[in-house]
Amino acid sequence: MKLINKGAEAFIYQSEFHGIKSVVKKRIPKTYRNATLDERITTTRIKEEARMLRRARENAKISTPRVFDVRLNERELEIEFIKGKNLSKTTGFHDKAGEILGKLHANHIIHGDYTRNNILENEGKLIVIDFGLSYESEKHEDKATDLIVYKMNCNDKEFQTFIKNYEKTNPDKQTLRTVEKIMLMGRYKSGRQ
Amino acid sequence: MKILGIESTAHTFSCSICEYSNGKYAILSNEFKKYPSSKEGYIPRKLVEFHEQNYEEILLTSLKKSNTKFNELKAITYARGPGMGHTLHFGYRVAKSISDKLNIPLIGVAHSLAHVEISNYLGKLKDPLVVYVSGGNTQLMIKEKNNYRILGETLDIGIGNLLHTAGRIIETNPTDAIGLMTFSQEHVTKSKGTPEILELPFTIKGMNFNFTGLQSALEKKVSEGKHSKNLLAYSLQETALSILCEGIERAITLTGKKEFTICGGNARNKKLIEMCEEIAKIHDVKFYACPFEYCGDQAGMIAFLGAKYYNSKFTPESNEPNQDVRLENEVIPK
Repeated sequence: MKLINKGAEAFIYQSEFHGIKSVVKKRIPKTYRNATLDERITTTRIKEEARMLRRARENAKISTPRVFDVRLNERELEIEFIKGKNLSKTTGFHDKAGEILGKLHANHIIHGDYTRNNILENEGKLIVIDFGLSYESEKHEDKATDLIVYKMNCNDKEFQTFIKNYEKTNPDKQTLRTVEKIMLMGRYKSGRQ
Repeated sequence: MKILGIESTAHTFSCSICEYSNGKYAILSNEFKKYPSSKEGYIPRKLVEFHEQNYEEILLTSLKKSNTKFNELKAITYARGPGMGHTLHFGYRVAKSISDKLNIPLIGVAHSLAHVEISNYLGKLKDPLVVYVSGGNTQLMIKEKNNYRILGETLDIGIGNLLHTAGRIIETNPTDAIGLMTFSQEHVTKSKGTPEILELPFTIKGMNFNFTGLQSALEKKVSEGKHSKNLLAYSLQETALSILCEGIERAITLTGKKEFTICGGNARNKKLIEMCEEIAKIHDVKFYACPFEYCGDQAGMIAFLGAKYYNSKFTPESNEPNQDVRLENEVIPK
């Protein structure tokens, strides 16, 4: 296994699963907290990430890496390796990014960190990665948070394109109204990104 | 040059004299009186009554201990917010009347910025990740030009508020965050190996926190009536602090800062300090905890920040009390 990235929670390795290129996400034990608590959190998160990846693929019908293996004892999740260009390193694709998030939300899947960093582009097709903070929810507030996170990444015109396409796949007006409501709340008023 | 600082944002009334000479700030006196915690919590009206009874004595002692006469003072500074409306207005009344009487400038400063700045000054920190943990606030921030930028914060109640309320719900002795810490420590001492811990919700959204869910879950566990007070205290404190630490870790990896500090009332929590020391080891960064006497609410930090403002010849836009002062809008004095 070759280490390719170190995050706050996990080490990311490149590996091979029965001859197919894969990515292994190994969550690091946190020595500063209670060992039982640490194991409980880690197990829940690995399971949840695998479950949400599968649900995004099967229910929302969007492209995500396939889950190969879940090894709870080793704190590892093995998924398909995706070849592609990071959207944060390119421009455009706001329409498709909006359409995809709409599909996820129509199926009550909250991504939790929907930034352009977590979307890959390969021959015009978008693939969403990193479901590490993902969860299931029907609340408009939770859906609105995803939209706000994306908004921080682009300008107003780009966000309008994003929203127009988001509405095609998730026509629920209430979510957009909630976005406006949250943006007006004190905590978001100034200096925040 | 001497400056008088007044603090009255919540349960504590405090006065302090800060002297600036030869490029150094020295806090000469730091007198305070805190409203005792009880089962009923803090009632704004009662807090003001308490402050009214004590303010004169505190003011005079702080002057006496620092050998200061009224006519030596160059400015009055007071905490204009964030805090409780009632008590903020009381501090304003005291500060305004002294400043009018002596005809010297009044500087209203942000209580939260004072917490942060005193810790940075004492720790000689240049560009740290600041973790501000107190009753009403839980914020992660970094310096950006003349302001702080908030990376993440609590979306409902502060972690201090949670720990304090938990002490009341569990009925620790005393019924506050200190009691909670003591009861929690007892659980660790009694345990062999990894201490037992109850399952409580663990919510964190990126670097933002929610703590009310944890409080409701605790209330449920208490009403079940089958867990010991020690176990309840330990589970709540350990879970809450672990959530906070996860946010701190994320902020360190994201910003790549080489030092971090904790300040505010809950920076006195021994367990939190231990955990932060461990984080510092893991990420190979410097860690500084604000000294015990400058963690809680006291006027020392207010007088210090006021003196800095006075020196930089900068006066904040408004001097009136404001419950909703936001730290990121405050200009950091040079």
